[in-house]
Amino acid sequence: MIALVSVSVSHYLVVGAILFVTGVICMATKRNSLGVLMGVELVLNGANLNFIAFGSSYLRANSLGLDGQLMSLFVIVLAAAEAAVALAIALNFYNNHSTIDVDQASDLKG
Amino acid sequence: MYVDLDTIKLLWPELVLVLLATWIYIGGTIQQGRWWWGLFALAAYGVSGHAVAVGIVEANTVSGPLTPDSLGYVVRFTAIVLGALFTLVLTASARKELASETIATLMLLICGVMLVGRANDLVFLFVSLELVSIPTYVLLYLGRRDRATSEATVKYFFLSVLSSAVLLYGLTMLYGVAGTTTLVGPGSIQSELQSLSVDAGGLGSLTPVALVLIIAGLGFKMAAVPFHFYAPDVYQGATNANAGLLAVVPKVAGVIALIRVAVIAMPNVAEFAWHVTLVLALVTMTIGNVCALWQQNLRRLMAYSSIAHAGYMLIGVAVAMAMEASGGISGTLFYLLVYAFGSLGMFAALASLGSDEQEVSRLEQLSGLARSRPFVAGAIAVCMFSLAGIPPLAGFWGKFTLFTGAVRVATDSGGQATSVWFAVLAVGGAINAAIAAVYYLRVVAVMYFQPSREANFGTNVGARVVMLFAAVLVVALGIFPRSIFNATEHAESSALREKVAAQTIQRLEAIATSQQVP
Amino acid sequence: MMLLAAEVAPSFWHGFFFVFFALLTCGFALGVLFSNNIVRMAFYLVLSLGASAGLFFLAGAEFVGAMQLMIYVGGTLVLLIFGVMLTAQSRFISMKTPSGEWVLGVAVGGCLLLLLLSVAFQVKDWRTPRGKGGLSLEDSKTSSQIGMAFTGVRVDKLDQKNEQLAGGMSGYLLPFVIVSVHLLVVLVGAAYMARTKRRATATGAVG
Repeated sequence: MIALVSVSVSHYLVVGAILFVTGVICMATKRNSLGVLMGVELVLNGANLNFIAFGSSYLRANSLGLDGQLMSLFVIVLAAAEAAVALAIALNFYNNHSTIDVDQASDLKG
Repeated sequence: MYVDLDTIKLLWPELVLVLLATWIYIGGTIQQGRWWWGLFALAAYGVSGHAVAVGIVEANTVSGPLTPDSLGYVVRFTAIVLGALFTLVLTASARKELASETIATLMLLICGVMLVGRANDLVFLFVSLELVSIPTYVLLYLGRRDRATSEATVKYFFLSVLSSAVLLYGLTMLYGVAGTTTLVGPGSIQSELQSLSVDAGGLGSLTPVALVLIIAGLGFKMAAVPFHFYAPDVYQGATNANAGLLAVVPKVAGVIALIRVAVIAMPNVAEFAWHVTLVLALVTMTIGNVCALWQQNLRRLMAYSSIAHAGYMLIGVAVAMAMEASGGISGTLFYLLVYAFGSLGMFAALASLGSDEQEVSRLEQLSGLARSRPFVAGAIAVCMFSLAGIPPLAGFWGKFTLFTGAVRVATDSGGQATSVWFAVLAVGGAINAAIAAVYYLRVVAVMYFQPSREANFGTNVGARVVMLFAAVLVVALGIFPRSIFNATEHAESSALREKVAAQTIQRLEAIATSQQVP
Repeated sequence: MMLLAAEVAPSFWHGFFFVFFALLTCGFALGVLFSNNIVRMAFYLVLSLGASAGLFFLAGAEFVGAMQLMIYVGGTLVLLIFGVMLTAQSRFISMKTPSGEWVLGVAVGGCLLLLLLSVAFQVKDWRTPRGKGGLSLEDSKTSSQIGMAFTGVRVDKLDQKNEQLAGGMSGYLLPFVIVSVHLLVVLVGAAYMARTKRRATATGAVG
């Protein structure tokens, strides 16, 4: 039997924090440019969870209106736009380097 | 409650840019040609600038997501001037079939900077900052398509996306604490945070975390530590014109956003904020200046110089955080302008020397330039002297105001520790200025004291005009700095007005309650 | 199942589904992190983002949850998988990360996580759930309000007393317009960037 949990904003923040940190580590360690992009999506999703939790009238006594939900919609759209740019950049990188391993890119050093 | 006519009036200059940029995108498919669209874009900046000048209203009220203070006007004028200058440089150096796209994308980028300058809302600010970032990725590509460029773009893109995600996470914290997305005004983040203490356990204890995330995220745009290491690689991989764009335009947006959020809207963490900013300023300028010493590639050199100047600007930000109405914001703005034109002049000069076959990127390519191209060498020398902060050029006044601001906080502030910190900051800034002079003067020495080489330099007319304009402006600002100082000081007082008003009200309320108790 | 639902309070199911979706979200996020295979990573990401849409529903943001499913899971991830397919050299692309970077990444990330977790539980107002009385799980009907907010009318804040504040609330029309400008730039830019190199040099020679 699962213990009864009364959900609060803090619980959402925990999930958001885990997604944020996972995404950041993913960006730092993945060698693959598409893998890095997946890390970005995780980070943005973590931020979205925070927005939703802060604005939710289910979780907080004083409702903050719809600002949180609206902001997270903007973030979703921006993430989609950035994914399109990222795909184009990754394809271009692949055309130039024949790989999407970002560590292969080491022409620029001083 | 609605977007009314006043909001549209306030936004008219930006709307002009967006509409005409769209027009260029569409028209570019029918009519190709560089100068056709270049001149069209210049006319668009002219219309937009005129709209800004006509539309100046000194309203005390904050109108929704936009704030009509004069900080916004300074930023808008700067952005329009920079936009027109970069249009000249890019028009002359872009490939013919990509010219219209390049010009229109630049216009949207400039529009993003203008919007950042007046944002009074977290959503609006974030979306505007993204309007600065996304066209930058596209512009980097439109410049050139080879291995180095694609590598530079990948590096820039992923770091930029990471930094905006970190910034966004900081903004979520800010929203969660304050419960609103408005930055300044009644019922805004600033007035909510005013009374919150940062002691553990309370709501306010989150604001330091939010602040660190916001500073880190915006630090990328400024090329400040810890997101600075991309700059040398990316500038080296980009064309000279694009490197100039990266060095100047995102920095303007980052500094303004930092002032709007961290300095003005978060009063309760000012104590913590200036400590963080001060340390970042010291580390950033030292790293930038020391690493620049042994660079042979000119764009890498300018990249480290750009990092170092981000450090100087953070001095002003720290001063503004530590003391009310200390001239910190004004000094930062002035320095931003001086840096922008000095750096722009340098990159425009490099772009003007490049031709289709080869571009100027190594320091030894400039040797003996004073004899083969005396005007270009003179303009580069002026820009270098200004960036090094040698009187009577504009850069000197910029550094002078920043350092005297730090000294003023050191002498006027009550606390012993504060004085020591800011004294260290002022001394550190002065030492850094001395280090920086070495590599700036080295460029000048190479141009004037080394034998001339056989090199076929290009003739990029647009870039040459911009270079001369920037050099003249740097000299003029050095001789008559007062006019710009007046504008930036007015911008500071107008941006802080809401803050001061809110504090006064709070103080009066505190007095009233204390009198009621007995 | 119906019987069970009648016996326990609705708040139990709220908590139950929260734990369920939270575990799915975090677990698959970790799966993305620790997998070396790009195709598996994409699949785990789909599941993680889909499960977080469930968390959105539980917080009363149905519209955002639906958008999360449609735009993220339906659109963005299809893009990602296209990217995987277009750049795949061998059947399964796997790229191993050196263990030194793992140690560094996990150490730094762990410190960050500890900081954020301590922050999450610091505020008393956020720790305490709203309680049974307030937890009404009926349809919150936010989608039309969101639509109105995007066109500049804040239906959810009509009771704003402060006149200056009410005058300033222009909703989110302006950011909405700016986002549409973003999409324009992205369309133009992606079209130019993704062209293959051969065609680019061919047109370059013409120009």
